[in-house]
Amino acid sequence: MSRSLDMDSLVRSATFAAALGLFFLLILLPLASLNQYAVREGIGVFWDRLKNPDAVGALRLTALVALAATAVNAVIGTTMAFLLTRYRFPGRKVINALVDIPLAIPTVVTGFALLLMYGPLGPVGRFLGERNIQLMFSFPGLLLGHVFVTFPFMVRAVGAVLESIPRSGEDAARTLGAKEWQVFAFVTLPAVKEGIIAGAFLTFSRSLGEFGASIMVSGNLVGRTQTGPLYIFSRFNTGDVEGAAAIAILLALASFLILLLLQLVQSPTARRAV
Amino acid sequence: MKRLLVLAAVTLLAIPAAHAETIRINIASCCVTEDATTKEILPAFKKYFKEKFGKDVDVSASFAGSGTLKNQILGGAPVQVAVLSSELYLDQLKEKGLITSDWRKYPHKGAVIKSVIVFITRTGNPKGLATFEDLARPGMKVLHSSPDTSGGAQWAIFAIYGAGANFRNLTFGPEDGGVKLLSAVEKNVIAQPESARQTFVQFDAGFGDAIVTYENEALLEKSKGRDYSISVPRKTIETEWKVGRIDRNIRPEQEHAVNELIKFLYAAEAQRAYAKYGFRPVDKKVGKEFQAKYAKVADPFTVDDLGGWKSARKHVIESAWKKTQAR
Repeated sequence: MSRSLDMDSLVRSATFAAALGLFFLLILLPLASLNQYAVREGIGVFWDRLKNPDAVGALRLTALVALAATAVNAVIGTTMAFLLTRYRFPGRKVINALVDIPLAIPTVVTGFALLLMYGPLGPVGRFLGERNIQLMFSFPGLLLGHVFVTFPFMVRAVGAVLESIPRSGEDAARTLGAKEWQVFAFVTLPAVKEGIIAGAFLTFSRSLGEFGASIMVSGNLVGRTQTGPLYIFSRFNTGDVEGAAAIAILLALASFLILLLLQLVQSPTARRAV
Repeated sequence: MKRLLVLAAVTLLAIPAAHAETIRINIASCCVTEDATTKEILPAFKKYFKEKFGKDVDVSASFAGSGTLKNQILGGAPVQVAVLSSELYLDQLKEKGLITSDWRKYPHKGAVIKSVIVFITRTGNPKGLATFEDLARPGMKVLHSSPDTSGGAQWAIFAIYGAGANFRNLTFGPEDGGVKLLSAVEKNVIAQPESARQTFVQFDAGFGDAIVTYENEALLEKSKGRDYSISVPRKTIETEWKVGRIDRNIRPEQEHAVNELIKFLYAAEAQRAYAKYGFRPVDKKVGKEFQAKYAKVADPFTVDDLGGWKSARKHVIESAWKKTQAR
């Protein structure tokens, strides 16, 4: 009996060590090497690279797009999650599956699809073009790309919370005479607050690292429409590995802090729900 | 029976021996040369090497933008021969000790192929774009790839600058005709994607009046049945791809094959293959054969007219072009 218990604990600690070891090797070590490159020429060079106006511009644009994409998806994604979990309608399963499509297709394809739709060849692009509205190669184009790529995160995070909370609260509100929008605004929305926060953090950090769609739709103009990841790529290609690593470290650190914050803000009740 | 056994044993021994005879080398080549290299040049080289020296050679090739290739080689990619779009990359490999030989001693100072910078326009060139000054007209929409990631874009920017510059008086200041023309054209640039290929994707989606790119890319896209027009400016730059021997990666048994491959790139057979895919051959005789394929440039110039690669990169791209990007 005690022997088998020993075996159990041995297996458990071996699995534990293996999992942590692999996590270290596959995930943490590559990030650590980045750090080594970033400060290879000294912290002064690292700081210098961060202060470069093109780098600052790229980081600012990245933060703005990520914020905007998060805001847009907070509204659309939450509504979508609400529809998918609270209503039964024909085609619901298909739409539910389609929600995850942005995760499955290469982001470069996303960018190309947007170019086709909003370009002079697409009906939408022609319609806008006749009114002198040019969405691609500017902030709105970039935002469209990021909203597309990060779309699933909010829907799934809010959806998970909605699935787990009983409808009795909503039903009670209805019984008391609340209108549908009141039920949504005063009962459902506060209940899924945690889901929205989780979705927002995930959306924001995914948006920080977006590359494939951005390079197609942004125009990649230095200091104007070049985001952080595009800046990193171009620095790397010009041979300025320190510059690339410095910005990369900053973005990785930002993502880490955001995700850590997410862990901290999730209250125990919410964690149970998710 | 005994003889049969001996024969079998000999055969068995011979098989690995024959395998060991195969020399393996790797070439890294600027992505625009991919079709010419894999479809024509490498198979022809293998055949040539086998016939002439009775040995098998196996050449693997990798293709990417020249800057990426250079970074991969710096990072330890086991490449013995590199064909790159900028001499600066070869210089950097030399500085880091990967190249110890002198590529300038090869024919044409290391250049194996040439091209020129042209415009691709919509069919029939509806906006009548014939010179770089035309690209500067208000309202024109121009595409070229990013000079940070694409060798072709660096040439494109040199071409624009050079078209407006006075070669006897390159000041690179705001009064320099080249800088003036460059800033005027850059105002009309709507996107600078990563590579020349991506500019075509955006052009195909309907964006832009013109792409500024290599003539060989333009010819290649046209040969695929794309419906564009090519406009060759009167005054434009001659571009070149140079070959370097990555000496530090060469083992003694590879050296012969490496030298033969470099020689072969200059041979008529390889030059013809490059020409077939739209490059301008450096070999004069092959050049004559393909004369009809290329438009004559009235007033061609080279990067040497701009003070050489090092100076041109520093003054035209890192200074003048960079300033045009700030708005």
